[in-house]
Amino acid sequence: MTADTDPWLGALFHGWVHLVTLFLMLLVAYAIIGLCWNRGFRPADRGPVVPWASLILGFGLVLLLRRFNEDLLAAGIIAVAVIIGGLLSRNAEPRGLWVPAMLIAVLLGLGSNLSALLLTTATALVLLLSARQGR
Amino acid sequence: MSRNVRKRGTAGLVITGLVGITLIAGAVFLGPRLAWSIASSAVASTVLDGLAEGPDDHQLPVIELLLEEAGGKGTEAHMLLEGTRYPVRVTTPEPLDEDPGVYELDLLEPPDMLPFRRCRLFRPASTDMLQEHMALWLAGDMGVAVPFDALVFLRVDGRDAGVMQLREMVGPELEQARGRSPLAVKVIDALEHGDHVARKVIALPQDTVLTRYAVRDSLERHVNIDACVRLLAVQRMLNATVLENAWVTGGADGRIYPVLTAASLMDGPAPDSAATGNALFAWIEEDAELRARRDRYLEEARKRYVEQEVFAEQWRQEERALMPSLLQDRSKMARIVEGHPYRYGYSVRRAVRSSTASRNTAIRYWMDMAP
Repeated sequence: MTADTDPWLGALFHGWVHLVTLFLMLLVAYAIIGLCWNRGFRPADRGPVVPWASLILGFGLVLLLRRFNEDLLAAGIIAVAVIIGGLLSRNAEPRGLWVPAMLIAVLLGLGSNLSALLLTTATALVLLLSARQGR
Repeated sequence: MSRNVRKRGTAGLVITGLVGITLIAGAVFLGPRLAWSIASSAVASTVLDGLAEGPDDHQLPVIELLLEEAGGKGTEAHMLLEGTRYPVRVTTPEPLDEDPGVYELDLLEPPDMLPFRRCRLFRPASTDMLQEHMALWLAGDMGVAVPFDALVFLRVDGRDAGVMQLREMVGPELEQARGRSPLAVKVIDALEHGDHVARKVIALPQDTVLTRYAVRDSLERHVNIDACVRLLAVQRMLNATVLENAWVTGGADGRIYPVLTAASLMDGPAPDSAATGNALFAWIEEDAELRARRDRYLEEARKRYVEQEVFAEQWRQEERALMPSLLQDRSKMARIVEGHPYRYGYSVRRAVRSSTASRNTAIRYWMDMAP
């Protein structure tokens, strides 16, 4: 490894590990609420633990907010994401999970890991304690 | 299991495998130690630093550079320091449209309350961000002339640039900035590069005709010998291999004295007198009385910093002031591998761990020093 490529590769590696870590954090959060959501259904009716669409949309949101963290721009991105989450909740499975999923992604994107952890826990508890008919 | 589920499972495995391969490739190209260091910092800064929400307000001074008003290198810009606007000339050697990581500033209308006229803002070189700052603090506390040095939080044109070190650039205005003299001094990097008096000072210790007392009398007239003795004591306290010092001539008391321009903590071993490469320092260390004075300064410092815990308390104070700014710093940058010249982001966890290790290493070294 030459002195010219080493810093570039080091910075790339740092950024890459950062992104992989963010993805894993989001994946774990979605897996927790996905498992709790599925607990309310019979095995035959259960969907995927982590829907790919919500994971990709959520990760995109995390990346956007990490990149554009100025107040106004971030507020716009969050507003659009919540509206899209709300619309998807009416039409796509798992209904009702899109908005909390978007909000968890928003919090991770803003670097508020503790809030994201708390929201994940609260969502998981609500899903575990709520009746299936409500979904 | 349905075909779709199997396909999705396979796709997930392939993606996980590809990510794993990129991480292994990084470790191979960078070497396991550097790769581990970078990866652990990236994970810690992503996961742990985000847990500290709403950190306290900055305790470090906040400096904002308004460079957009400047037309480029060498033109006038402004510096906001704690709400006060100072016109500055930016002499940064690198283009300003990129983040150079170093800003050199000349204050155009320097106020009396600022202890410097020219300064340099740069990213702290050590992982704990405190080593160099504390080394200069210790040297100043032991009575050696040092440049003003402080950790600050820097913003450039409204964007956070993170925690930086502000250090006075030692120059002719050294004594003016400290209110010691209205006149400019001359700063030279080595006595050989000075005027005839400075060159005479270098030649005196080698004069075989003069007795040792005569040499000492002559030196005392031209050089602040006590400042030199203190500097040699500081070198041993810092366990520094090299002394990075300049010489000030034309000062208020008319005598030449050394000024430390940079310092680091525990990068030793400190050399014996023959290895200093400076005839004046070598002569001082050969003199039994001056050597005894140096050892007395060392012992006094050791008592003050270890037994009275002044050093540890000062370090903790600096650390407490640093942490809120470090937690707010989204682009945390420092050298994360000792001796590695490049900089990457790193985590607060690393800063705290490294800070404790550095402080304890210094204190242990002083405890082991022979009284």
